[in-house]
Amino acid sequence: MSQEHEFEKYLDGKTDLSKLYAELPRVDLPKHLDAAILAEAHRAVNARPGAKPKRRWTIPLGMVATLFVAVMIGLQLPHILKDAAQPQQPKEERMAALMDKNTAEPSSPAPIEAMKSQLTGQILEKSKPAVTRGKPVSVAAEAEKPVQEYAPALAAPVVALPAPAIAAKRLEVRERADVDSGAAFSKEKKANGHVEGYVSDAPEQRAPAAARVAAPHPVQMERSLMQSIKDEVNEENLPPEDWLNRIKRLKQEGKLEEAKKDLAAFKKRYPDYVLPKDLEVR
Amino acid sequence: MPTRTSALPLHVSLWLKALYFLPMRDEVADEQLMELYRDGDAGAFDVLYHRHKGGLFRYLLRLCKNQAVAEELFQDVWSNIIRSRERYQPSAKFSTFLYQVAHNRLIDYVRQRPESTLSLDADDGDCDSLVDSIPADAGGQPEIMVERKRLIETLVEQIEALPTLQREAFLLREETGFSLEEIALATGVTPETAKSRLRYAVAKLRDGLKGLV
Repeated sequence: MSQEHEFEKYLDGKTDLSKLYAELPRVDLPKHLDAAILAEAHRAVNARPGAKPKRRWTIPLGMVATLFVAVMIGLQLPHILKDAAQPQQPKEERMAALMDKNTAEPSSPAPIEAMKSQLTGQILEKSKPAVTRGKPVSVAAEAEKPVQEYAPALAAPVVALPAPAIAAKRLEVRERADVDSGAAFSKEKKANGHVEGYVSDAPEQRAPAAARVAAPHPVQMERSLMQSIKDEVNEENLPPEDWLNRIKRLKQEGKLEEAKKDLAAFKKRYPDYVLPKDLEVR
Repeated sequence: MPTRTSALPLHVSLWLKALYFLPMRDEVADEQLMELYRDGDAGAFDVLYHRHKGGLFRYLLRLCKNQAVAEELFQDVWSNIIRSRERYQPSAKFSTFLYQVAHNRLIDYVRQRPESTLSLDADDGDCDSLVDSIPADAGGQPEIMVERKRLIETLVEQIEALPTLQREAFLLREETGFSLEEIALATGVTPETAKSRLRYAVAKLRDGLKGLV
């Protein structure tokens, strides 16, 4: 009982045992131990910049990404060099031709018509990659630019037509459509002052049924117009060797008249080009 | 205490916290200091370390009775605290956590080195001497000083003569002022066991010092 009582007194801090213990000599900690532990503590905190976990994968990922990009460039380089090495007109020649085209009247429709009728599909097929590969060029927007602004655009694969040429082309196609269809539909439209309005639901403006069936649809007319412009544009862009090959092919097929027209257009386009002898069309 | 808000970046929050506690760092609770250290304030650890280094070292030294071993264990305990700072949650007192780590490290040490003089048996009687480390007091009357030195030597002998687990309970009580529940928590036993160990330790010491205290 007295032991329990003594223990209670000890727990309450009322005995001399705790006081005597407090008089025990203080043991000094070695200084090097202090320094080592504090250094370790500071190192541990400083090892985490911004208290964010260190991302160990960033450097390897960056290296892999760099390697990937380098390999992809290496794989694409032969194609780029191949494209660059393809024969092109001398810059001065192209510049002169373009200046001629922009300053002169719209080109005569005859050679264009001739080539258009024969080679639409062929040229379009060839022109597709050229058009998509280059920077998209708005023909109408380009037509509005002054002549001097065409110089930087020489590198673009598509050569724009001037606005008067487009307008002339548009008129020509429309007139042809009028002639073919008896001009019922177009004349009625013109009479009503709807030159640009192709579709109208008003009953009084409708053409007779027969005329409407015979006449090409206005949308088709517009497509045809755009097609002809596209063809013209692509013919202009055709390299001289391809153009000559095409003329040779026409000649071999016996289409001498078309070959002659094509050759005339070629000579107009490339007046200084020395023609091979076998290409003379009689 | 300012708490970290999600609107502030971590380093700004940390600086605000550090500035808030800077003038009164000595009065800041252990748990807050440990939280500051966990959040990257190395200065908070310095305060915490200087606050507890003496008690912990004496606890280890008087338990294992070997300076080199005590130093090794002491460094291990603090390294453990540093490493586990990310997981620290102030659910209990920091000192309880600290001595819990120390107790576990001591148990590991004894298990790894069976040849050690330490024994975890309840009634072991190992008794290497620390009495030689007690210095003679420089001042005061010589007779009283001699008497006091003899008393302290006797206490040290009695403490060293205690079984390890009883000695541990007594040292935890004297060095940290732990309650029975805290002693139980630090040593991983029930409060009844802790009370029993401490009671036996006190009784033995009183018997050894009978007539002196």
